[in-house]
Amino acid sequence: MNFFFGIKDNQINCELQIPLFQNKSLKLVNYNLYSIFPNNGLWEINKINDAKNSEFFIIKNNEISNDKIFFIAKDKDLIEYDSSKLQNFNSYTDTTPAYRANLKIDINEGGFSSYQSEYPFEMAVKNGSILSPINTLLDKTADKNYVFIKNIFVDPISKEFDLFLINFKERKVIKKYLIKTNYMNKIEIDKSYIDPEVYLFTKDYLGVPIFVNIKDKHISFEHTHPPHEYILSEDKFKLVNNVKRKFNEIILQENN
Amino acid sequence: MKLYYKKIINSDFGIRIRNTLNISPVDMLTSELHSASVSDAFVWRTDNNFSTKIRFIDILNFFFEKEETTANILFYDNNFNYLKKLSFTKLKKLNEVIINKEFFGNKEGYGTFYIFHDLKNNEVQKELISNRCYVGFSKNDQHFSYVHGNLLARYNSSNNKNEIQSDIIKTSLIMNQNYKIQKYFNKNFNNEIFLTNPTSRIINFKIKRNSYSLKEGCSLIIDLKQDDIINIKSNCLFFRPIVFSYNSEYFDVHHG
Repeated sequence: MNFFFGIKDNQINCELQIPLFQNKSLKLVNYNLYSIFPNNGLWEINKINDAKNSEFFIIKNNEISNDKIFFIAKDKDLIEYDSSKLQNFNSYTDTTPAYRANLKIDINEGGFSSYQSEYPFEMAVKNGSILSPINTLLDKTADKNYVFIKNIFVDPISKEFDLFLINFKERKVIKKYLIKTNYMNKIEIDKSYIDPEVYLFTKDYLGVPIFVNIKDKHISFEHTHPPHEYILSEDKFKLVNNVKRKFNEIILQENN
Repeated sequence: MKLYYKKIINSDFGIRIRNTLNISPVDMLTSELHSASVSDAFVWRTDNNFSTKIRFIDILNFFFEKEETTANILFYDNNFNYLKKLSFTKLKKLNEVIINKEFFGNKEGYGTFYIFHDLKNNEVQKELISNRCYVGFSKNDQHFSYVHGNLLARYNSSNNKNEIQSDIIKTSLIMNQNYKIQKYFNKNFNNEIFLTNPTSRIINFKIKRNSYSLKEGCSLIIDLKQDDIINIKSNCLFFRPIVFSYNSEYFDVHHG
Protein backbone atom coordinates (compact mmCIF):
# COMPACT_ATOMS: atom_id res chain seq x y z
CA MET A 1 0.00 0.00 0.00
CA ASN A 2 0.97 3.64 -0.20
CA PHE A 3 0.77 6.46 2.26
CA PHE A 4 0.32 10.02 1.05
CA PHE A 5 1.56 13.23 2.56
CA GLY A 6 1.56 17.00 2.34
CA ILE A 7 3.71 19.92 3.44
CA LYS A 8 2.87 22.43 6.16
CA ASP A 9 4.95 25.52 5.67
CA ASN A 10 4.71 29.23 6.31
CA GLN A 11 5.86 30.12 2.78
CA ILE A 12 3.84 27.71 0.68
CA ASN A 13 0.27 26.43 0.61
CA CYS A 14 -0.48 22.83 -0.10
CA GLU A 15 -3.34 20.69 -1.41
CA LEU A 16 -3.35 16.90 -1.69
CA GLN A 17 -5.66 14.98 -4.03
CA ILE A 18 -6.05 11.23 -3.49
CA PRO A 19 -8.03 9.47 -6.23
CA LEU A 20 -10.67 6.84 -5.57
CA PHE A 21 -9.74 4.94 -8.71
CA GLN A 22 -6.70 3.12 -10.00
CA ASN A 23 -4.93 4.56 -13.02
CA LYS A 24 -5.88 1.66 -15.29
CA SER A 25 -9.44 1.25 -14.13
CA LEU A 26 -12.63 3.25 -14.51
CA LYS A 27 -14.12 1.66 -11.40
CA LEU A 28 -14.57 3.88 -8.34
CA VAL A 29 -14.13 2.41 -4.88
CA ASN A 30 -16.00 3.34 -1.77
CA TYR A 31 -12.99 3.72 0.51
CA ASN A 32 -12.60 6.04 3.46
CA LEU A 33 -9.85 8.54 4.05
CA TYR A 34 -7.80 8.26 7.22
CA SER A 35 -5.02 10.32 8.70
CA ILE A 36 -2.44 8.75 10.97
CA PHE A 37 0.33 10.31 13.04
CA PRO A 38 2.62 9.33 15.92
CA ASN A 39 1.25 10.38 19.28
CA ASN A 40 2.94 9.43 22.56
CA GLY A 41 4.54 6.33 21.12
CA LEU A 42 1.43 5.07 19.32
CA TRP A 43 -0.07 5.61 15.88
CA GLU A 44 -3.26 7.64 16.19
CA ILE A 45 -5.76 7.12 13.39
CA ASN A 46 -8.60 9.48 12.51
CA LYS A 47 -11.23 9.12 9.84
CA ILE A 48 -11.73 12.26 7.73
CA ASN A 49 -15.32 12.62 6.64
CA ASP A 50 -15.52 15.89 4.77
CA ALA A 51 -12.84 15.66 2.08
CA LYS A 52 -14.62 13.69 -0.64
CA ASN A 53 -15.70 14.99 -4.01
CA SER A 54 -17.01 12.70 -6.73
CA GLU A 55 -13.79 10.81 -7.51
CA PHE A 56 -11.14 12.21 -5.17
CA PHE A 57 -10.38 13.05 -1.60
CA ILE A 58 -9.22 16.68 -1.60
CA ILE A 59 -7.19 17.50 1.50
CA LYS A 60 -6.77 21.21 2.07
CA ASN A 61 -3.90 23.10 3.69
CA ASN A 62 -5.62 23.35 7.09
CA GLU A 63 -5.89 19.54 7.35
CA ILE A 64 -2.21 19.00 6.57
CA SER A 65 0.60 18.83 9.09
CA ASN A 66 4.19 17.67 8.78
CA ASP A 67 3.81 14.58 10.97
CA LYS A 68 0.49 13.45 9.53
CA ILE A 69 0.15 10.96 6.69
CA PHE A 70 -2.95 9.80 4.85
CA PHE A 71 -4.22 6.52 3.44
CA ILE A 72 -7.41 5.11 2.00
CA ALA A 73 -9.05 1.95 3.32
CA LYS A 74 -12.30 0.27 4.19
CA ASP A 75 -13.35 0.22 7.84
CA LYS A 76 -12.87 -3.55 7.90
CA ASP A 77 -9.20 -3.15 6.91
CA LEU A 78 -8.62 -1.61 10.34
CA ILE A 79 -10.27 -4.31 12.47
CA GLU A 80 -7.00 -5.87 13.57
CA TYR A 81 -5.21 -2.59 13.78
CA ASP A 82 -2.30 -2.48 16.23
CA SER A 83 -1.35 1.09 17.11
CA SER A 84 2.24 0.20 17.95
CA LYS A 85 3.26 -0.37 14.31
CA LEU A 86 2.31 1.08 10.97
CA GLN A 87 0.48 -1.55 8.97
CA ASN A 88 -0.08 -2.58 5.41
CA PHE A 89 -3.84 -2.10 5.50
CA ASN A 90 -4.64 -3.13 1.93
CA SER A 91 -3.12 -3.46 -1.52
CA TYR A 92 -5.51 -1.19 -3.43
CA THR A 93 -2.88 1.47 -4.12
CA ASP A 94 -0.23 -1.02 -5.29
CA THR A 95 -0.42 -0.34 -9.00
CA THR A 96 1.79 -0.04 -12.06
CA PRO A 97 2.36 2.78 -12.88
CA ALA A 98 2.53 3.89 -9.25
CA TYR A 99 -0.67 5.20 -7.69
CA ARG A 100 -0.58 8.96 -8.08
CA ALA A 101 -1.80 11.37 -5.43
CA ASN A 102 -1.36 14.91 -6.66
CA LEU A 103 0.46 17.10 -4.15
CA LYS A 104 0.22 20.70 -5.33
CA ILE A 105 2.05 23.55 -3.68
CA ASP A 106 1.61 27.23 -4.40
CA ILE A 107 2.80 30.57 -3.16
CA ASN A 108 0.45 33.44 -2.45
CA GLU A 109 -0.22 35.46 -5.61
CA GLY A 110 2.36 33.36 -7.38
CA GLY A 111 3.11 30.10 -9.12
CA PHE A 112 2.18 26.51 -8.40
CA SER A 113 3.76 23.12 -8.94
CA SER A 114 2.74 19.49 -8.46
CA TYR A 115 4.45 16.27 -7.58
CA GLN A 116 3.34 12.66 -7.18
CA SER A 117 3.08 12.11 -3.44
CA GLU A 118 3.24 8.44 -2.58
CA TYR A 119 5.29 6.59 0.00
CA PRO A 120 5.25 2.80 -0.34
CA PHE A 121 4.73 0.79 2.85
CA GLU A 122 7.79 -1.30 1.93
CA MET A 123 9.96 1.80 2.35
CA ALA A 124 8.53 2.45 5.82
CA VAL A 125 9.63 -0.92 7.20
CA LYS A 126 13.25 -0.58 6.11
CA ASN A 127 16.25 1.28 7.34
CA GLY A 128 18.57 2.52 4.66
CA SER A 129 20.12 5.58 3.16
CA ILE A 130 19.12 8.35 0.81
CA LEU A 131 21.63 9.35 -1.86
CA SER A 132 20.83 12.12 -4.29
CA PRO A 133 22.65 14.80 -6.25
CA ILE A 134 21.31 18.24 -5.33
CA ASN A 135 22.15 20.28 -8.38
CA THR A 136 19.91 18.38 -10.81
CA LEU A 137 16.80 20.03 -9.38
CA LEU A 138 18.09 23.07 -7.52
CA ASP A 139 19.11 26.30 -9.15
CA LYS A 140 21.86 28.74 -8.26
CA THR A 141 19.95 31.56 -9.94
CA ALA A 142 16.78 30.97 -7.87
CA ASP A 143 15.78 33.26 -5.01
CA LYS A 144 15.34 30.29 -2.68
CA ASN A 145 16.30 26.62 -2.79
CA TYR A 146 14.85 24.04 -0.42
CA VAL A 147 14.88 20.29 0.01
CA PHE A 148 11.91 18.69 1.74
CA ILE A 149 12.69 15.22 3.05
CA LYS A 150 9.76 13.02 3.93
CA ASN A 151 10.43 10.03 6.13
CA ILE A 152 7.81 7.52 7.22
CA PHE A 153 8.96 4.81 9.59
CA VAL A 154 6.99 1.86 10.87
CA ASP A 155 7.49 2.65 14.57
CA PRO A 156 5.54 5.68 15.88
CA ILE A 157 8.65 7.52 16.91
CA SER A 158 10.16 10.88 16.23
CA LYS A 159 13.85 10.14 16.16
CA GLU A 160 16.51 12.56 15.05
CA PHE A 161 19.06 11.48 12.44
CA ASP A 162 21.76 13.13 10.37
CA LEU A 163 21.47 14.37 6.84
CA PHE A 164 24.76 15.24 5.18
CA LEU A 165 25.80 17.35 2.23
CA ILE A 166 28.93 15.69 0.92
CA ASN A 167 31.41 16.91 -1.64
CA PHE A 168 32.20 13.58 -3.27
CA LYS A 169 35.27 14.75 -5.15
CA GLU A 170 36.87 16.30 -2.09
CA ARG A 171 35.62 13.42 0.09
CA LYS A 172 34.36 15.88 2.61
CA VAL A 173 31.17 16.52 4.61
CA ILE A 174 30.39 20.16 3.95
CA LYS A 175 27.20 20.49 6.00
CA LYS A 176 25.28 18.39 8.48
CA TYR A 177 21.60 18.80 9.38
CA LEU A 178 19.50 17.11 12.03
CA ILE A 179 16.21 15.83 10.67
CA LYS A 180 13.66 13.44 12.15
CA THR A 181 11.65 10.36 11.39
CA ASN A 182 7.93 10.44 10.62
CA TYR A 183 8.15 14.03 9.56
CA MET A 184 8.31 16.31 6.55
CA ASN A 185 11.67 17.95 7.13
CA LYS A 186 12.65 21.18 5.41
CA ILE A 187 16.17 22.41 4.81
CA GLU A 188 17.21 25.53 2.97
CA ILE A 189 20.20 25.03 0.70
CA ASP A 190 22.63 27.87 0.39
CA LYS A 191 23.61 28.65 -3.21
CA SER A 192 27.26 27.99 -2.46
CA TYR A 193 26.44 24.30 -1.91
CA ILE A 194 24.76 23.83 -5.28
CA ASP A 195 27.53 22.09 -7.13
CA PRO A 196 27.79 18.98 -9.33
CA GLU A 197 30.06 17.34 -6.76
CA VAL A 198 27.68 17.83 -3.83
CA TYR A 199 25.29 15.05 -2.82
CA LEU A 200 22.67 14.70 -0.15
CA PHE A 201 23.13 11.56 1.97
CA THR A 202 21.60 9.89 5.00
CA LYS A 203 22.92 6.71 6.52
CA ASP A 204 20.20 5.60 8.96
CA TYR A 205 16.78 6.12 7.44
CA LEU A 206 15.17 6.16 4.04
CA GLY A 207 13.02 8.99 2.75
CA VAL A 208 11.93 10.92 -0.30
CA PRO A 209 13.89 14.09 -1.10
CA ILE A 210 11.76 16.66 -2.91
CA PHE A 211 13.41 19.74 -4.33
CA VAL A 212 11.82 23.18 -4.43
CA ASN A 213 13.22 26.31 -5.97
CA ILE A 214 11.51 29.66 -6.25
CA LYS A 215 12.29 32.64 -8.44
CA ASP A 216 10.11 35.72 -9.00
CA LYS A 217 7.17 33.79 -7.53
CA HIS A 218 7.63 30.94 -10.06
CA ILE A 219 8.14 27.59 -8.39
CA SER A 220 9.55 24.17 -9.30
CA PHE A 221 8.79 21.06 -7.22
CA GLU A 222 10.10 17.58 -8.11
CA HIS A 223 11.84 14.60 -6.55
CA THR A 224 15.07 12.99 -7.69
CA HIS A 225 15.24 9.36 -8.72
CA PRO A 226 16.76 6.95 -6.21
CA PRO A 227 20.12 5.71 -7.60
CA HIS A 228 18.87 2.19 -8.38
CA GLU A 229 16.51 3.67 -11.00
CA TYR A 230 19.51 4.37 -13.22
CA ILE A 231 20.57 0.74 -13.37
CA LEU A 232 18.30 -1.89 -14.87
CA SER A 233 20.78 -4.80 -14.68
CA GLU A 234 20.41 -7.51 -12.06
CA ASP A 235 23.44 -6.18 -10.18
CA LYS A 236 21.80 -2.80 -9.57
CA PHE A 237 21.69 -3.03 -5.78
CA LYS A 238 25.29 -4.22 -5.63
CA LEU A 239 26.37 -1.24 -7.72
CA VAL A 240 24.32 1.21 -5.66
CA ASN A 241 25.57 -0.25 -2.38
CA ASN A 242 29.10 0.09 -3.65
CA VAL A 243 28.58 3.82 -4.25
CA LYS A 244 26.80 4.30 -0.91
CA ARG A 245 29.67 2.55 0.86
CA LYS A 246 32.00 5.28 -0.42
CA PHE A 247 29.74 7.96 1.04
CA ASN A 248 29.63 6.09 4.34
CA GLU A 249 33.44 5.96 4.33
CA ILE A 250 33.59 9.73 3.95
CA ILE A 251 31.38 10.14 7.02
CA LEU A 252 33.41 7.61 9.02
CA GLN A 253 36.60 9.35 8.02
CA GLU A 254 35.20 12.69 9.24
CA ASN A 255 34.20 11.15 12.57
CA ASN A 256 37.65 9.69 13.23
CA MET B 1 6.85 -28.62 -26.33
CA LYS B 2 6.46 -26.64 -23.11
CA LEU B 3 9.45 -24.49 -24.02
CA TYR B 4 8.05 -23.87 -27.50
CA TYR B 5 4.71 -22.81 -25.99
CA LYS B 6 6.47 -20.47 -23.57
CA LYS B 7 8.43 -18.95 -26.43
CA ILE B 8 5.24 -18.20 -28.35
CA ILE B 9 3.31 -16.62 -25.48
CA ASN B 10 6.29 -14.46 -24.57
CA SER B 11 6.99 -13.39 -28.15
CA ASP B 12 6.03 -9.88 -29.19
CA PHE B 13 2.99 -11.21 -31.05
CA GLY B 14 2.08 -13.49 -28.13
CA ILE B 15 2.20 -10.56 -25.76
CA ARG B 16 -0.04 -8.51 -28.04
CA ILE B 17 -2.57 -11.36 -28.08
CA ARG B 18 -2.36 -11.65 -24.27
CA ASN B 19 -2.84 -7.91 -23.97
CA THR B 20 -5.81 -8.03 -26.33
CA LEU B 21 -7.48 -10.84 -24.39
CA ASN B 22 -6.33 -9.39 -21.05
CA ILE B 23 -4.64 -12.67 -20.08
CA SER B 24 -1.54 -11.90 -17.95
CA PRO B 25 -1.09 -8.59 -19.77
CA VAL B 26 2.40 -7.11 -20.08
CA ASP B 27 2.76 -3.34 -20.03
CA MET B 28 6.53 -3.03 -20.17
CA LEU B 29 9.38 -5.48 -20.61
CA THR B 30 12.98 -4.74 -19.75
CA SER B 31 13.94 -8.21 -18.51
CA GLU B 32 14.80 -9.32 -22.04
CA LEU B 33 17.20 -6.44 -22.56
CA HIS B 34 20.92 -6.85 -21.95
CA SER B 35 23.85 -4.56 -22.47
CA ALA B 36 21.99 -1.45 -23.48
CA SER B 37 21.46 2.19 -22.73
CA VAL B 38 17.72 2.78 -22.33
CA SER B 39 16.09 6.16 -22.71
CA ASP B 40 12.79 7.61 -21.68
CA ALA B 41 10.75 9.41 -24.31
CA PHE B 42 11.60 12.89 -23.07
CA VAL B 43 9.68 15.83 -24.43
CA TRP B 44 10.82 19.26 -25.55
CA ARG B 45 8.84 22.28 -26.64
CA THR B 46 9.67 25.68 -28.13
CA ASP B 47 6.07 26.58 -29.06
CA ASN B 48 4.20 29.39 -27.27
CA ASN B 49 7.40 30.97 -25.94
CA PHE B 50 8.51 27.80 -24.19
CA SER B 51 12.10 26.73 -23.84
CA THR B 52 13.29 23.42 -22.46
CA LYS B 53 16.30 22.57 -20.34
CA ILE B 54 17.82 19.08 -20.11
CA ARG B 55 19.85 18.14 -17.06
CA PHE B 56 21.53 14.78 -16.69
CA ILE B 57 24.33 13.28 -14.68
CA ASP B 58 27.21 11.14 -15.95
CA ILE B 59 25.97 7.78 -14.70
CA LEU B 60 28.93 5.85 -16.12
CA ASN B 61 31.25 7.99 -14.05
CA PHE B 62 29.07 7.88 -10.94
CA PHE B 63 28.49 4.11 -10.84
CA PHE B 64 31.46 2.71 -12.78
CA GLU B 65 34.12 5.39 -12.24
CA LYS B 66 34.66 5.77 -15.97
CA GLU B 67 36.40 8.93 -17.11
CA GLU B 68 35.85 10.92 -20.30
CA THR B 69 32.59 9.17 -21.02
CA THR B 70 30.49 9.76 -24.11
CA ALA B 71 26.78 10.05 -24.84
CA ASN B 72 24.40 11.18 -27.56
CA ILE B 73 21.07 12.96 -27.47
CA LEU B 74 18.82 12.50 -30.50
CA PHE B 75 16.08 15.03 -31.19
CA TYR B 76 12.89 14.44 -33.17
CA ASP B 77 9.94 16.66 -34.04
CA ASN B 78 6.32 15.78 -33.26
CA ASN B 79 6.11 13.71 -36.45
CA PHE B 80 9.21 11.75 -35.45
CA ASN B 81 11.33 13.41 -38.11
CA TYR B 82 14.95 13.34 -37.01
CA LEU B 83 16.16 16.88 -36.27
CA LYS B 84 19.62 16.70 -34.83
CA LYS B 85 22.11 14.89 -32.65
CA LEU B 86 24.16 16.29 -29.81
CA SER B 87 27.30 14.29 -29.13
CA PHE B 88 29.07 14.63 -25.82
CA THR B 89 32.65 13.48 -26.03
CA LYS B 90 33.54 14.19 -22.43
CA LEU B 91 30.60 14.29 -20.07
CA LYS B 92 30.63 16.50 -17.03
CA LYS B 93 29.22 15.40 -13.67
CA LEU B 94 26.12 17.44 -14.52
CA ASN B 95 25.32 18.20 -18.13
CA GLU B 96 22.89 20.84 -19.22
CA VAL B 97 21.39 21.72 -22.61
CA ILE B 98 18.93 24.50 -23.34
CA ILE B 99 16.55 23.92 -26.22
CA ASN B 100 15.00 27.07 -27.59
CA LYS B 101 13.94 28.20 -31.04
CA GLU B 102 17.54 29.03 -31.98
CA PHE B 103 18.65 25.51 -31.07
CA PHE B 104 16.64 24.18 -34.02
CA GLY B 105 17.35 27.08 -36.40
CA ASN B 106 14.38 29.20 -35.33
CA LYS B 107 11.94 26.29 -35.17
CA GLU B 108 8.86 26.63 -33.01
CA GLY B 109 7.31 23.33 -32.15
CA TYR B 110 7.57 20.33 -29.94
CA GLY B 111 8.78 16.77 -30.03
CA THR B 112 10.87 14.17 -28.27
CA PHE B 113 14.47 13.43 -27.45
CA TYR B 114 16.34 10.35 -26.31
CA ILE B 115 19.62 10.08 -24.45
CA PHE B 116 21.98 7.17 -24.92
CA HIS B 117 25.24 6.60 -23.10
CA ASP B 118 27.94 4.89 -25.09
CA LEU B 119 28.54 1.59 -23.29
CA LYS B 120 30.98 0.06 -25.75
CA ASN B 121 33.45 2.91 -25.91
CA ASN B 122 33.23 3.28 -22.16
CA GLU B 123 33.93 -0.41 -21.50
CA VAL B 124 30.77 -1.26 -19.65
CA GLN B 125 29.21 -3.41 -22.38
CA LYS B 126 27.46 -5.79 -20.02
CA GLU B 127 25.39 -3.23 -18.20
CA LEU B 128 21.81 -2.14 -18.70
CA ILE B 129 21.43 1.50 -17.73
CA SER B 130 18.93 4.28 -18.07
CA ASN B 131 19.45 7.97 -17.56
CA ARG B 132 16.08 9.13 -16.25
CA CYS B 133 17.08 12.82 -16.55
CA TYR B 134 15.27 15.96 -15.50
CA VAL B 135 13.61 18.26 -17.99
CA GLY B 136 12.81 21.87 -17.14
CA PHE B 137 10.30 24.05 -18.95
CA SER B 138 10.31 27.84 -18.99
CA LYS B 139 7.62 30.06 -20.52
CA ASN B 140 8.35 33.67 -21.51
CA ASP B 141 11.92 33.36 -20.18
CA GLN B 142 10.69 32.81 -16.64
CA HIS B 143 11.95 30.27 -14.14
CA PHE B 144 12.27 26.59 -15.19
CA SER B 145 9.92 24.05 -13.67
CA TYR B 146 11.20 20.46 -13.72
CA VAL B 147 9.80 17.01 -14.35
CA HIS B 148 11.66 13.69 -14.38
CA GLY B 149 11.61 11.09 -17.13
CA ASN B 150 8.60 8.83 -16.85
CA LEU B 151 8.29 6.67 -19.96
CA LEU B 152 11.02 4.14 -20.86
CA ALA B 153 10.85 3.97 -24.63
CA ARG B 154 13.93 3.26 -26.73
CA TYR B 155 17.28 1.57 -26.28
CA ASN B 156 20.64 1.41 -27.91
CA SER B 157 22.13 -2.04 -27.51
CA SER B 158 25.91 -2.29 -27.35
CA ASN B 159 25.74 -5.62 -29.25
CA ASN B 160 23.59 -4.39 -32.06
CA LYS B 161 25.67 -2.06 -34.23
CA ASN B 162 24.24 0.96 -32.44
CA GLU B 163 20.79 0.46 -33.91
CA ILE B 164 18.10 2.15 -31.82
CA GLN B 165 15.18 -0.07 -30.95
CA SER B 166 11.84 0.43 -29.23
CA ASP B 167 8.83 -1.59 -28.01
CA ILE B 168 9.82 -1.80 -24.37
CA ILE B 169 6.25 -0.66 -23.84
CA LYS B 170 3.70 -3.10 -25.16
CA THR B 171 0.50 -2.71 -27.12
CA SER B 172 -2.65 -4.67 -27.78
CA LEU B 173 -4.52 -5.28 -31.03
CA ILE B 174 -7.56 -3.26 -29.94
CA MET B 175 -8.26 -0.14 -27.87
CA ASN B 176 -8.96 -1.99 -24.62
CA GLN B 177 -6.65 -0.10 -22.25
CA ASN B 178 -7.60 2.78 -19.97
CA TYR B 179 -5.23 5.29 -18.45
CA LYS B 180 -7.17 7.54 -16.13
CA ILE B 181 -5.04 10.46 -14.99
CA GLN B 182 -5.01 10.62 -11.20
CA LYS B 183 -5.44 14.34 -10.98
CA TYR B 184 -8.56 16.44 -10.52
CA PHE B 185 -8.08 19.12 -13.15
CA ASN B 186 -9.03 22.63 -12.12
CA LYS B 187 -11.51 23.88 -14.74
CA ASN B 188 -10.45 27.46 -14.09
CA PHE B 189 -6.98 26.62 -15.41
CA ASN B 190 -6.03 25.83 -18.98
CA ASN B 191 -4.78 22.27 -19.13
CA GLU B 192 -2.85 20.37 -21.80
CA ILE B 193 -1.53 16.85 -22.03
CA PHE B 194 1.56 15.97 -24.01
CA LEU B 195 1.43 12.42 -25.34
CA THR B 196 4.20 10.48 -27.03
CA ASN B 197 4.10 7.16 -28.82
CA PRO B 198 6.92 5.12 -27.20
CA THR B 199 6.39 2.13 -29.52
CA SER B 200 6.98 1.24 -33.18
CA ARG B 201 3.28 0.59 -33.71
CA ILE B 202 0.41 2.98 -34.33
CA ILE B 203 -1.32 4.01 -31.14
CA ASN B 204 -5.01 4.75 -31.50
CA PHE B 205 -6.66 6.49 -28.60
CA LYS B 206 -9.79 8.26 -27.49
CA ILE B 207 -10.35 11.05 -24.99
CA LYS B 208 -14.04 11.65 -24.36
CA ARG B 209 -15.54 11.49 -27.84
CA ASN B 210 -12.43 12.57 -29.72
CA SER B 211 -10.33 10.00 -31.54
CA TYR B 212 -6.64 10.34 -32.27
CA SER B 213 -3.85 8.34 -33.81
CA LEU B 214 -0.10 8.54 -33.27
CA LYS B 215 2.40 6.83 -35.53
CA GLU B 216 5.74 5.49 -34.28
CA GLY B 217 7.59 8.04 -32.12
CA CYS B 218 5.11 10.84 -32.86
CA SER B 219 3.85 13.21 -30.20
CA LEU B 220 0.81 15.41 -29.70
CA ILE B 221 -0.26 18.18 -27.34
CA ILE B 222 -3.99 18.15 -26.60
CA ASP B 223 -5.92 21.03 -25.05
CA LEU B 224 -8.25 19.62 -22.40
CA LYS B 225 -10.85 22.38 -22.52
CA GLN B 226 -13.33 22.07 -19.66
CA ASP B 227 -12.69 18.57 -18.38
CA ASP B 228 -11.87 17.81 -14.75
CA ILE B 229 -11.25 14.06 -15.10
CA ILE B 230 -9.43 12.58 -18.05
CA ASN B 231 -9.40 8.99 -19.24
CA ILE B 232 -7.33 7.93 -22.22
CA LYS B 233 -8.57 4.78 -23.91
CA SER B 234 -5.98 3.26 -26.20
CA ASN B 235 -4.20 0.17 -27.47
CA CYS B 236 -1.05 1.04 -25.48
CA LEU B 237 -0.42 -0.47 -22.06
CA PHE B 238 1.61 2.41 -20.67
CA PHE B 239 0.41 5.65 -22.18
CA ARG B 240 1.24 8.23 -19.54
CA PRO B 241 1.24 11.89 -20.55
CA ILE B 242 3.05 14.96 -19.31
CA VAL B 243 0.54 17.50 -17.99
CA PHE B 244 0.80 21.28 -18.35
CA SER B 245 -1.61 23.45 -16.33
CA TYR B 246 -1.74 27.23 -16.73
CA ASN B 247 -3.10 29.91 -14.45
CA SER B 248 -2.44 33.50 -15.48
CA GLU B 249 1.32 33.92 -16.04
CA TYR B 250 2.18 30.75 -14.11
CA PHE B 251 2.21 27.12 -15.16
CA ASP B 252 2.76 23.70 -13.65
CA VAL B 253 4.28 20.65 -15.36
CA HIS B 254 4.25 17.09 -14.07
CA HIS B 255 3.76 13.56 -15.29
CA GLY B 256 0.20 12.31 -15.41
